[in-house]
Amino acid sequence: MNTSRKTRSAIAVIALLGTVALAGCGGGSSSDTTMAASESTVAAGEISFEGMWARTSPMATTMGAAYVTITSSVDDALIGVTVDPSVAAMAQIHETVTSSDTSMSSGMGSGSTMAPAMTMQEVDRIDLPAGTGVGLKPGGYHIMLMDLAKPLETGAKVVITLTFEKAGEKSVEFPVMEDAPAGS
Amino acid sequence: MRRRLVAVLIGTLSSVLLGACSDGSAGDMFIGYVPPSAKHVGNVSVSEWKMSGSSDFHFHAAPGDVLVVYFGYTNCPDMCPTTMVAVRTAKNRIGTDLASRVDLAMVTVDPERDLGANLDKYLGSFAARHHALVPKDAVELQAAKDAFQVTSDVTKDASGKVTVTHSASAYVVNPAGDVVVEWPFGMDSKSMAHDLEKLLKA
Repeated sequence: MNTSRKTRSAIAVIALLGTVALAGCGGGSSSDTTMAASESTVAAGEISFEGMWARTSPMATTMGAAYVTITSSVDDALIGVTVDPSVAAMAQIHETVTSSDTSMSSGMGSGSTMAPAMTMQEVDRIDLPAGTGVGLKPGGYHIMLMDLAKPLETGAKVVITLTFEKAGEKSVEFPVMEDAPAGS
Repeated sequence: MRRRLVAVLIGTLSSVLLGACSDGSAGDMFIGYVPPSAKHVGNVSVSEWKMSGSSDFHFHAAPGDVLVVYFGYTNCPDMCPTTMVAVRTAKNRIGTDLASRVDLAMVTVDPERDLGANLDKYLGSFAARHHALVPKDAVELQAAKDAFQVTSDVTKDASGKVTVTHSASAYVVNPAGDVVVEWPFGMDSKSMAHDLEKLLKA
């Protein structure tokens, strides 16, 4: 179990408790019931993208990363990413996480001064709570471009298609930059 | 009651901060992490790839310089380039004279896949002055990891997918071969520049 998974399950528990608590409080009026029903079949909302960029790929690497902050007007989730083969063979949603694998070879034992080891893992989805900007940023979530067809060069643009649970597919243009745009 | 708690907290924080800088030179306050006990890495060496052939690289800076050491791998799209770009930006912030005294070395934790020539090209994307370190075997890699207290692991699953896990801090080493300050992942270039200036102007 890693920290983020724990956090996620904690959030799930809190969300569940919240739902139970709300249900418990409900007066059972017909308007409440109607609202609940309509919420469960809510239509796709507006999705907005901010601060998108793909990192200039260093020489001699075939992996790339792209970042963006996504806001959905309704509860939605990013569930997939695809890219044209002319850019990369495959795209995946990844998350950089602190490894909690204590069995890892460390040499000096579990010294307290040891920097935590980090790794990347593929994630199935990124939840997008209504109206909240969710950032894919260095050291956190990112879109990983695997087996780049050619290096990502500063000034170029790559198009990545993001698939949302409700909003469907959205193609987004990512300018290739050396570093994150200011303010993102 | 609350005020006393705040006072205790401030006291604790101050001693932590003071403690952190007590190992620094002349009471300098580093923004990065100062290891509580000295980490001597100068007696450890890793094979350095060069066009002309490999040679042993010892972890210490040239006289008057500092050496930034990072453990990573070239097919690392997120953490490694984030840190490399931050180091480069930090060097830009301190001006060319001081920046010319900053050396950079990266040890690949994935020597089976990382060829020296590739690592050299990779580092060349971030710094003209650099050292591509490719351990010649697991023993050499482990010795370097032990000295820096770094952890790393490379695993392959049934489908052949390789997962690399590694400590993501950068280590700043002085000419005596001691780690003077560590930059945890995510530290910004401004903070790195601050620490470099402290060291290079001392």
